[in-house]
Amino acid sequence: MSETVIAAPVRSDAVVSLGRQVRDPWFVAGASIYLLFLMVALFADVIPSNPPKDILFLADGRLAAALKPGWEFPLGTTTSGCDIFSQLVHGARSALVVGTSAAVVVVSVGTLVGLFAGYFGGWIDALLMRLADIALGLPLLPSVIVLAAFLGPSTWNVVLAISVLLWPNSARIIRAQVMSLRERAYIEAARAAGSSDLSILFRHIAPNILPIALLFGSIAVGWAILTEASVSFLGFSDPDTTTWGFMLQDAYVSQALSRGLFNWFVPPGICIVLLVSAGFFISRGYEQLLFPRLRD
Amino acid sequence: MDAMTEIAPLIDVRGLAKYFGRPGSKAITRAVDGLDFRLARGETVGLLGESGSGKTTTGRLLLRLTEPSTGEIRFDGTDIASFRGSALRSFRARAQLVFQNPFDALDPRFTVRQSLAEPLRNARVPKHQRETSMRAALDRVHLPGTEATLEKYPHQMSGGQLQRVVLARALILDPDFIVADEPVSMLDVSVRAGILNVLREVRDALRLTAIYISHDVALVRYVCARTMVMYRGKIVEDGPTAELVRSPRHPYTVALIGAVPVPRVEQNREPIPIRRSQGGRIDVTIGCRFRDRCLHAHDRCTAEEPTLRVVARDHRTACHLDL
Amino acid sequence: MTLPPVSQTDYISRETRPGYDVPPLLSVRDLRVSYRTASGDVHAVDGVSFDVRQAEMVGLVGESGCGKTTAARALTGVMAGNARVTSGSILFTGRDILNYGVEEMRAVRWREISFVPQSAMNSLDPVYRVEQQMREVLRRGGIRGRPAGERTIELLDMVGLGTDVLRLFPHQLSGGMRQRVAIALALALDPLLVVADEPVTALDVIVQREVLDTLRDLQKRLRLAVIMITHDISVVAYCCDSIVVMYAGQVVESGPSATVLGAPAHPYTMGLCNAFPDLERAADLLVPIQGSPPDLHDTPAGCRFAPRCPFAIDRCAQEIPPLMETDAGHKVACWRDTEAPILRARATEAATWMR
Repeated sequence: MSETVIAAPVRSDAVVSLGRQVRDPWFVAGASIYLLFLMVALFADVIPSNPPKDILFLADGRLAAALKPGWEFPLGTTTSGCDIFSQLVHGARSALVVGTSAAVVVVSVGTLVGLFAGYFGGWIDALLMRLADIALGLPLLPSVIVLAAFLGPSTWNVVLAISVLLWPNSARIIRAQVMSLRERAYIEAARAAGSSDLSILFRHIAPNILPIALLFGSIAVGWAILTEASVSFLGFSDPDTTTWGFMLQDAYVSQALSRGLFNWFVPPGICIVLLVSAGFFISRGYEQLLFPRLRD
Repeated sequence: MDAMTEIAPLIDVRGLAKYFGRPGSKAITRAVDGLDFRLARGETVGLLGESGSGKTTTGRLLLRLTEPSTGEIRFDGTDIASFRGSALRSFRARAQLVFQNPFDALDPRFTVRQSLAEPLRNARVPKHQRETSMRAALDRVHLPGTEATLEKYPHQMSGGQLQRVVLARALILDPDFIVADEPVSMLDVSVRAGILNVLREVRDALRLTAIYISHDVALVRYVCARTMVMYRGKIVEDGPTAELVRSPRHPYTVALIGAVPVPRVEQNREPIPIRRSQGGRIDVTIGCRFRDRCLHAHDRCTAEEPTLRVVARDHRTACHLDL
Repeated sequence: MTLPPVSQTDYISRETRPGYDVPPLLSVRDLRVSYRTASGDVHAVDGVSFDVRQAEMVGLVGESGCGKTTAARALTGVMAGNARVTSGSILFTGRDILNYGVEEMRAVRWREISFVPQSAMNSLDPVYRVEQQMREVLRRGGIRGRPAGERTIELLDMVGLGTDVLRLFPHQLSGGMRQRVAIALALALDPLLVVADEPVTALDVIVQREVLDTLRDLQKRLRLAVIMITHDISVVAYCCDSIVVMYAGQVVESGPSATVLGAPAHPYTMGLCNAFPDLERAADLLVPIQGSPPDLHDTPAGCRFAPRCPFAIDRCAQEIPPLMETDAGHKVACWRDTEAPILRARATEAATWMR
């Protein structure tokens, strides 16, 4: 019995593990939420609603301002006459774009840095980790704001700024993982078999750390969205795009709370919370897979 | 030694040493502290020693998996430290390692086929030849050379089967030299015999030069014609295994052989001639490093380090006494 | 099988009374332990029976997966969360400890039955010095202060360690020394029985010999009973008085070491003896036993060893042979036990084991 327990590593039997994963409630919850928002974002243009930034007027010519949720405007309107529902839907698109692109960059950069720093050690490790330390030393939000202010307020600058500051987290964890993998017998076997360092890095080590990298990706999406929302709330994002953070800022500025316009700021807030939580739910489900406790 | 120096040895080690720790600091570990030996082609040699004797480090040095602190290792006449690029690749194809832990020696994400293909790919073996090589290698270790076997993952196989795959991978490029580090210690007893028999077969069929590193005297006796005994970084005795076991010449070897239990109730239970290890460390840079445990130690042993000297045909020992 | 009720004084006194046949110290009958796993129940121990007499060293021998560790852990009551004892009895000094509650078991554990785990690093806390750990164990037994200090010195002396070990941390000790500390800890409260799980497997030959000699010495001096779990027949031959051979969760053979190793009656034991290199008879060919042990999820109907047995007959695959006594103290579970001498002769030939 001890033989088979030792020999069963993480995710070697891909089909069985994926099947088990799909049944995990956390994973299912997280994945469903992502999927829902993904659909909304993809079909934002097709969902019948008014253009988000358009100032709308009622039939009798008055400004369609601060309307309560009703048939024509499912979530009501803002004080300037914009359709909240439509803003919410289009906001999903930009949230996912920012979140996903930032996550992709963070994970790619973090993984590459972690791989090289962890495997080669020495001066490469020292250099990369000092860069990581610098990035970690900077306070997230203020730095993003400063960068956005310098580079100009656009979505992609925000993505860039977030990526530059968030990559060290995944890099550190992946580096630690690589350092422990590096000592495994099969890595030495590969070296004895004549494999080059790069070949070992990308054939043996990378596939083993990919699950962790993806885990970080799902968490990174959440962080990126949260950061972007904060940046928009503070007014540093692209004014031409609709984001949830912008909605919150608009609501704040228009004193929506004291006016009791809950239909304005609650929905974007909930959406942010849901999407960020989805990332954590998925990572929770993943965790069971990656680090199975000794059940038997 | 004389018969061997006629034909050039495959492996020629001189003054090999490996130290761990910062130079100049007090806490230097002299893992390997000056080895001199030769291996002729087709020789199977056992490297016997307890943990901390430096035998595993020696194995890794011989395959250039780690760099020596001083000394030279010549493989087929050339210093292995000088190999670069294609010469290094060619050395890696000719000198292979068999690992101790079969459960960790194969990438758990690789099928048997992928694990076997790796050395073939590195040696630029053309694709069409790879399948035949793989099946031949599996045959040699008595595993079915079938599609089913090639598609298996490590966790689907038993320890014995895994170790055969590890052996197959080591033999697939027809190496001249293999280093096997405790190849059966992690396997069940009834399985060990199978692997040891394969090792014996391979030894006879392929005229491989091999070094078997182990702390198990019985294993070494079963597979190796010649044995070198290491103690704290140095070789203390080197000779034909049968002779070494029957009449050991170095006090440490005497104790080692005497301590091995046999699977029969009637056996020797006399106290073995060695002082108990109290964990204290003596200064190994002066005199014989076995002196704190040796029952026969005297002044000369502290003053002068014994060197390997010939005591019988092909048999050397490093001791001032004449046992 | 019920044993007559025995008073504890029989065992507390360490003198044997001539002429009085003392029942065994430990009597395991038909023990069954299962693990509940995601893929069904694994019947790790499936009907194991054996005895341990006072001051006897019993070797529990078998390969990985045979259930020996599970059976031994059932004795101390410390088992994995998903392990269940499904039936059987464990009578220790006549008391049925299997049905003991938590409190009662705690009283027995370490004071009467103690455990030396496989790797001493498992039982030694790396952040505490040896002295602190020993005192902690003694405190559990109600020994404190100066008596505790004296006892620690006494215990270390028993295992051949000096007092300088007391102020050291586990990582500062060598493997052999750590194992001896683990043994000292197991002896702290003067138990009647020590269960040692592969106590010398991880040690070098010379250190192994020292530790085994220590155990033999303690057995004699303290009239200590020891169950030594191991896969190494040489170790068992060296120091155990009797052997229990386990295969796939069951006992296949048991009896005095000389008989079981000298004249094995079960084909598995015969096979094991062939597979073990004997330094003094090096010319012999080692013969492996082909195949591997069965999956304990669905236990086969007949004898568990039948698929790998060169002497199997039809009956073997249909009915499990019971453990039966052939001569004094020697028990075998084999339908062909009466033919043992003939089978033994055939078993020594390599060709018998090749398929």
